[in-house]
Amino acid sequence: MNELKAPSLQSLLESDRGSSDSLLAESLLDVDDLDDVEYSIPPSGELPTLESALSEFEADSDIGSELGVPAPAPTPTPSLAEEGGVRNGGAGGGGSIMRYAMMHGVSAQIASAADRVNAGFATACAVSTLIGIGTSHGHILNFDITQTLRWAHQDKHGQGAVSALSYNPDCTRLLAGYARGLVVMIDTQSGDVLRNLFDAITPNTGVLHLKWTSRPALALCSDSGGSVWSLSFTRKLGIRGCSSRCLFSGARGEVCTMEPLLIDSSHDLDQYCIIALATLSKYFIVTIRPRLKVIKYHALQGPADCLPVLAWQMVLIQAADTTRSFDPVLVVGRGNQLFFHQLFMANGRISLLYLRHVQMQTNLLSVHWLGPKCVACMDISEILHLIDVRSSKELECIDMANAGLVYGSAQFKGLATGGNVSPALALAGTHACYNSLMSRGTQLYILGARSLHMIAVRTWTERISYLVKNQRWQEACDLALDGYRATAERPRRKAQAKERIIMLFKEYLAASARAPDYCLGPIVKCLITIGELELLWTQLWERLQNKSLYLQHITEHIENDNIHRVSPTISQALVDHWLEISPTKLEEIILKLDWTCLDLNQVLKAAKRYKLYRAQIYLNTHALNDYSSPLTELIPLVAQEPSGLGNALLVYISSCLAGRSYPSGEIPNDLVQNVKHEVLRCLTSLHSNTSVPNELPYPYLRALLKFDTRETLNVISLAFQEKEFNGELGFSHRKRIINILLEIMTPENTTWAEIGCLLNFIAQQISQQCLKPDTQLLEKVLNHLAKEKITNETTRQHSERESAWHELLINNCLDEISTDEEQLRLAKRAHCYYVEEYLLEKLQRYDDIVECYLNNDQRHDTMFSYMERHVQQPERKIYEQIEKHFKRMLEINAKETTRLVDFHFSAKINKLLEVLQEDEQSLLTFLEHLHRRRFVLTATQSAQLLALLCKFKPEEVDEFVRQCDEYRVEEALSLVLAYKLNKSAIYLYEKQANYHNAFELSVELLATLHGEAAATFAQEISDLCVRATNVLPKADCEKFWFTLLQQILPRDDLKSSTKHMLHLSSQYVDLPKLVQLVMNTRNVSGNFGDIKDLLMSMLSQSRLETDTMEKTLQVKCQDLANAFARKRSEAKRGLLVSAMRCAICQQRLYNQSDILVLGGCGHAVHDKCATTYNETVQSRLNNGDISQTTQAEKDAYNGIHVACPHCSAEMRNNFYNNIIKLSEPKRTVSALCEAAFNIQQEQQNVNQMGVLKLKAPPRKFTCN
Amino acid sequence: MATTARSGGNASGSTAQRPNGTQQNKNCQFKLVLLGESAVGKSSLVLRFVKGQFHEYQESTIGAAFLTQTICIEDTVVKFEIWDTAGQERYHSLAPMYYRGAQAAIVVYDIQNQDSFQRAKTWVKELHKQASPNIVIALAGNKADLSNIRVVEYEEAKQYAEENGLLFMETSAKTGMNVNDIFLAIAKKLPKNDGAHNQGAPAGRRLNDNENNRQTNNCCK
Repeated sequence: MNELKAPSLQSLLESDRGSSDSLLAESLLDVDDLDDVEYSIPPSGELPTLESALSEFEADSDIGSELGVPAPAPTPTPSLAEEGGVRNGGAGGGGSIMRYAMMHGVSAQIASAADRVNAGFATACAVSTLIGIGTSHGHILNFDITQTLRWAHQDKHGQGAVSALSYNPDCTRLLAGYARGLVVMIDTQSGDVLRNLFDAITPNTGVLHLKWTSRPALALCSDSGGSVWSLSFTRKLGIRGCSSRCLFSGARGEVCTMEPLLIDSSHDLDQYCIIALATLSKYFIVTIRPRLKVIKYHALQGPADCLPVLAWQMVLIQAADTTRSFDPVLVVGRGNQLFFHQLFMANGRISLLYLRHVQMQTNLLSVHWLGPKCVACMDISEILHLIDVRSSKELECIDMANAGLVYGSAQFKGLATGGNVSPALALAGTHACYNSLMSRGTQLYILGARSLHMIAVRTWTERISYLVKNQRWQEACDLALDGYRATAERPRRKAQAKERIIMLFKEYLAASARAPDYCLGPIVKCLITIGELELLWTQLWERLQNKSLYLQHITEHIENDNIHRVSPTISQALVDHWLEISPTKLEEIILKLDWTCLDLNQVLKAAKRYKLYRAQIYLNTHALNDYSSPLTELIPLVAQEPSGLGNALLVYISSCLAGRSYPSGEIPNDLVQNVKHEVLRCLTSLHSNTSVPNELPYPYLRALLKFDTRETLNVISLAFQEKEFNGELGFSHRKRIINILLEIMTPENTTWAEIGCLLNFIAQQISQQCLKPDTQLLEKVLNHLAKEKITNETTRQHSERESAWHELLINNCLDEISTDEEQLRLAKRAHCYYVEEYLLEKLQRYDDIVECYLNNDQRHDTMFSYMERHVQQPERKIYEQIEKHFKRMLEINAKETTRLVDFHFSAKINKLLEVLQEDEQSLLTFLEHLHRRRFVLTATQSAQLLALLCKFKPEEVDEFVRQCDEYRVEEALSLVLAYKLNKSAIYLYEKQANYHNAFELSVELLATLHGEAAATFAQEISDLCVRATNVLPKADCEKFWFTLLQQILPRDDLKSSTKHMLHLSSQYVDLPKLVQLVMNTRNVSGNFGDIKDLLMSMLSQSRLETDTMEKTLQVKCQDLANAFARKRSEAKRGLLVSAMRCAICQQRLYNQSDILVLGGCGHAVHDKCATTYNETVQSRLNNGDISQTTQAEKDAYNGIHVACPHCSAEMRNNFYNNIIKLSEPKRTVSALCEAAFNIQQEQQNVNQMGVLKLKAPPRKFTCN
Repeated sequence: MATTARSGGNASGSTAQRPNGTQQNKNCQFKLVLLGESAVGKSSLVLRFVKGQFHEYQESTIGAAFLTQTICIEDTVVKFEIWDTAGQERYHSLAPMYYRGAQAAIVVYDIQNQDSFQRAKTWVKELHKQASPNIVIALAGNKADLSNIRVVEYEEAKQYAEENGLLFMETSAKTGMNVNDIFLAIAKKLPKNDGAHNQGAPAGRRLNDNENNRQTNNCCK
């Protein structure tokens, strides 16, 4: 390892490698005197290698020694202990996913460089197989994989801080950018500067990013002006050169970050050189080789103080259609948003596909992939979140505040170049840390001012180890099982996972030797899940002191069907354990276990002792293939044991006879026949094995029948359905069994109910043609069936008897021993109406069928459907039967009966009513139901119904009289009065329009009522009064009201309604009288409150009337004024006179006399002429010279339609009556008229009609 | 320094490392089945071997009983898993379940009972026919304390045993005579090192473990 030993700082400084001589010259430190111990410089040569640091389970742990890694000698540097250094927290991972480690070697060198050679704090880092650290005073420290300082370089050009570092992919060259714009290329082997590029970027800006692309000699550089430059390195004739080209100008939006896609050569996209760029508003995907082309750009919004972040990763993507592809995925983040995009080649074009979006709680500083499944995000409070990409869930978070993260704000603000950056970039740059967080594989490096930290994602195995180390067995087991299950169907990985779990188990064994019970459950679960049962039975079992917990866990797994076998040792312990605690539980467990792992001797003896009969049956049948001994051993016990045994045995017998094994599964095919035979033989054996001298024959079957006859017979009848009981032989078997049954069940030692069960069973068998009918047997059966009365027979038993009989009859089994007539007689006697009905039907004697139904309480409902069904068939004689049993039918279901009658026999209702005449109750029911069916009753029927109602149901009378209209009112009234049903009487009086009587009766009735009823009734009376108002004269009404009020007012119990009543009455009676009444009747305490409302309403009514009066007057005046105004405006309208001469005398008009303008036609007459003309017409009329008078003249005389004497043009009516004489200055008028005339003359030809229409009404002008 | 993380062995037949790491005992586990006519003393024989007890009136076994006993031979720990089957005829059908996969069998007869000796012979025949070919069979003539009323002669049985390659001893559960010896003899005869007597799977695993150990040792140097 000597060759790896790093040169000490001193030797580096003194060497001519790099350019540190100036540093040495300026250094105030006496390098010779540096003392490692005093300055806490770690002995660099003995540091652990980087690889070991990355792969060992924990830094500073002694597990390293177990792995054969030489442990580092104790260093004086206080280590940043995991607990003290960072606060672990977060969701699912429980702190086991992320591993934190401090890079002590690197950190120590940074610190010492800062302290001793004034290198300043760290500002940028780059991580590849080497680690490069840049400082604020322009120093670059290069470390190798073992954290050994290989060389240091100092900038001599005063370029300020190192702002960006980048190793090329094969790690032979390091590019370093400075805050004042210098880009330097350094050979990583020697530390020699190969190129100094002073003018590669925009002058007077600093370097923000330096990135190598996938092409060997092509790098990218972005500056604080926001421009991106491509740096192509050339070597022509041995002279190194570099051509820099501007790819993007910062003028159009400054590029904040860029991320080249580094891709291995096997992918489709490797022919392209692709970079992702992000500005403050957009992000771009660009190819720069073979030619510059933008593939995609997209807006990217976010808070102004947040920079965009980018990261690429090759991810195996499984599409929905199960195709898999291995494509680069770009994560773009800004603010608290993360977007994932897949980049792929499709049809020769590069496309970008949106995959998913993740929203974080807080804004982000950085995003880095840690492996293809997780993304690590540092948020602005320096908490690192680990996100699982597939589920978008946060796995874990870790607080990195103690790392002292370095920010690159100074570069973004351009402090070194005079601050010539845009304000937006400067603001966003507050949180820039692009060059202080670097990811490599599943590791993330975090650069602090004086230290370098690493976060790595643990693999599944490592996480288990971590949990194991912390004794978190529960979590370790859960995690292990999760991982094991996740391997699903991949055998190789499954085997690996299994191996890991076995290793975990061994670690557990070693760790928990002192407390073997600790966390036993999860370990047991692990072993069962992976199927390593041997370990469970041996190693885990043997070390336990107290086995009960272990047994509890095993029991749980047995109950959940996770295991069916345990080792015999465990099963013995299990049986002992549960025998002590709960034998019932033991039985359950035994039933679930494979019998081969049980110690039969132990279990069977225990089962016998603790009466675990089911377990006994199970083991006997499964292990010993002994199907009869459970019967022979257990049946004799049935009588003494609780019913569970008997039931279990019945189930067992039933399943055996059906070929199923107990408690579940099937009997093997080769055994089925034997088993069935054996069980049957055993059941029907004449004597038991331990034959007692005076044993009754067939002890087993007898015991079972005794236990539960019905169920036993059910079991047998189920068994009879098997094929063994069919065919000739099978029937003889049946016969034999039935004979045995009959032999056992003699009346001496069984109850009739049980015998009934048997006989029903036999009847069923016979009727199913499964049993040869045999006269003797049939008679026996029939004897039972036809028994007149059986004591304590339940309804169920009776109906079973009936149905058995019925079955027999249907199948004609009884033909041989008796006739139908005989049967009918028997059935009638035995009250087997169902049978009777069947026989009657068969004999077509329909007259009595309904009676059978009537007698059978259960079949009343069917009776109606029977009648409904056959009502159309006259031979069924439905009506006759109805008539016969009408009363009973009404009792059974009056509604149905009435419906039936009304529907089918409405014509015969009267007949039926007659039938009922003597039974008033039935009559009432029938009539009532008819009435309810809205059947129109005749007057007599109504009267009858009413009378019956009055008699039996007086409370329904009122409703009836209101609903029904058919009765005669007078009769009804007398009837109602006779029964003193006053309310109905009141209604009837009112119906007669006899309000007086109605009212009187009401008032009387009210006097007898009290409380609530009185109030309601008072309300009714008031309603009556209101109705009466429409009919009776006002005086009568008032009388009613006053009588009512006189009744009501003094009564205390009606106080609540008084007010309402007064209010109501006030609409119909004279108010002052009412007030008077109130004042007078208020005998005791003339409470003002009660009449207050009344008075108020009187006042308001009077006010209202006054108001109305005033309003009417106003309206009248208004009308008058309007009429006058209209007249006046008419009168004031100008007139046009078109003729110059009087229409009557043909003299000139304007000759100092009054003229009358006729309006309309424009003609005018002299006033005098008009008078004369009028008189002429009048005299002519008076002379009776009717023939001479024209129609127009007549009209003129009548003064309705007046015509112009000249043109007969019609004038406005009432002309002669309403002549308005106007005194106007003559001259004005004549002048006007003349002017008008002139105009008229000019226009006459043009629009005569229009002018005519404009004529004003006739008017008389007076010349004075 | 030896690895402390790895303690305990594996399943049957694997090696275990003691804490001091120098002495390594082998762990062997064998399945042994007892067969024979009823009431010849199978259960008593096992009880004597496992618990050192003897009951004059031993209850008859139902089906089969299971017991374990561990003995040490030289540096090997042998654990017997003993299935003591019931001798009654009705349980005969169970026997194959137990002798299948057994590495050893003891066929017991009663020296006072010729029938039981004949039955033992049928058992031996059945074992030769049905059981695993490597099975170690021992013939035990029980109730040797009653040799004064013996029916089956020692020589006869001995000869039969030799002809059929069986271990043979006359035992007495009552006095304890030859009981441990017959089990020890079986244990000695059983193969312990190679995996041949074991099922395939555990043997394979053990090889792996050995490899691992060797690697670990190399690393520690």
